[in-house]
Amino acid sequence: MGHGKDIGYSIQRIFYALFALTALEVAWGMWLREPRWLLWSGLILCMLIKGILIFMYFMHMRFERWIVWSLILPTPVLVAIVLFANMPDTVFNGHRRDHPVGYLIDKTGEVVNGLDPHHPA
Amino acid sequence: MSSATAIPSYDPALDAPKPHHAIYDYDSGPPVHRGKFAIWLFLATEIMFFTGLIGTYIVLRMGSTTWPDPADRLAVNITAFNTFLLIVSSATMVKGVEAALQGNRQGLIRWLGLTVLIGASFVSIQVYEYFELIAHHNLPNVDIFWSTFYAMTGFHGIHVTAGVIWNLVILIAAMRGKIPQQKYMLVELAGLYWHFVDLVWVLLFTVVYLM
Repeated sequence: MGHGKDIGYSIQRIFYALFALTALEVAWGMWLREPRWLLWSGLILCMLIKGILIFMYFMHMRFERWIVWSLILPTPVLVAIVLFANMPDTVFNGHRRDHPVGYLIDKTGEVVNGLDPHHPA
Repeated sequence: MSSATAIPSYDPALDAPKPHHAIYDYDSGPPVHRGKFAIWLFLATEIMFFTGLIGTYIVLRMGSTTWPDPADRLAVNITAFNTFLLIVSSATMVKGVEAALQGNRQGLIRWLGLTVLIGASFVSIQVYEYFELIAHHNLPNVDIFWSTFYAMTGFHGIHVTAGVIWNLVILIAAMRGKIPQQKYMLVELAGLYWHFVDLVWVLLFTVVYLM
């Protein structure tokens, strides 16, 4: 850690920023359900800023040396590989699951019972 | 007692390091504290673990023509409160690390104790949420929404529980005076894990509860 006897940044400022972003995110998520692209963009933006604040300050990465960064930097690449390796299985092969979540289907793929009260059969 | 049986006085030179050649006078370890190196290596594996869970969720959700609105199925209010709790606990953890760094034992005990308390509250609220969901027959085998929900939040809950236990062990050691200033790294390592757990929850809360 590249600092001396104190933590090297204002804990209060980071905490208030996280608090405000969480409040904004909850309000955004609860009251702005449509359009979906706007809902998701706002949520992802808040989530990323919060994640970066925790990662850079609370986890001290802003003050760490190259050796710690080198431990963590390969993981986003691996994350991308995991996601993009699996994505075609359900997204791009034209066999998307065509029954709503919450339905029970039999071996032939026919819907036999609606278990989801929000989507009764 | 005769003077012949007296124990000779201790000579520190006996335990002093032997002189050696300068070429061996280096540290073969990484240029960072070994504990920190180890915890970051561990956290890298944890990132992959949660990537597997969250990645599976994203793939399944994108592969479905429809997906239930989480707001219809989950108690977002209570979970939002839980999210605030975890963020507060991260701040108290940082204060605890700062106190350890300054050799402030009372401060360390106070802030770490608060962190343990808030962490335990988070787990308790999550258990309450599970009981409520199960009481309404929302079990993991009902549909893919619930199975992914329980997998992600359940494993995260286990991690929070482990973090609470870890912090509790450090707290007990601090209360017994076993964490002097020069051992502040013990607190920092526990703190890194705790912040990681908080970071994962920031992602989970957004992806599972709000999106």
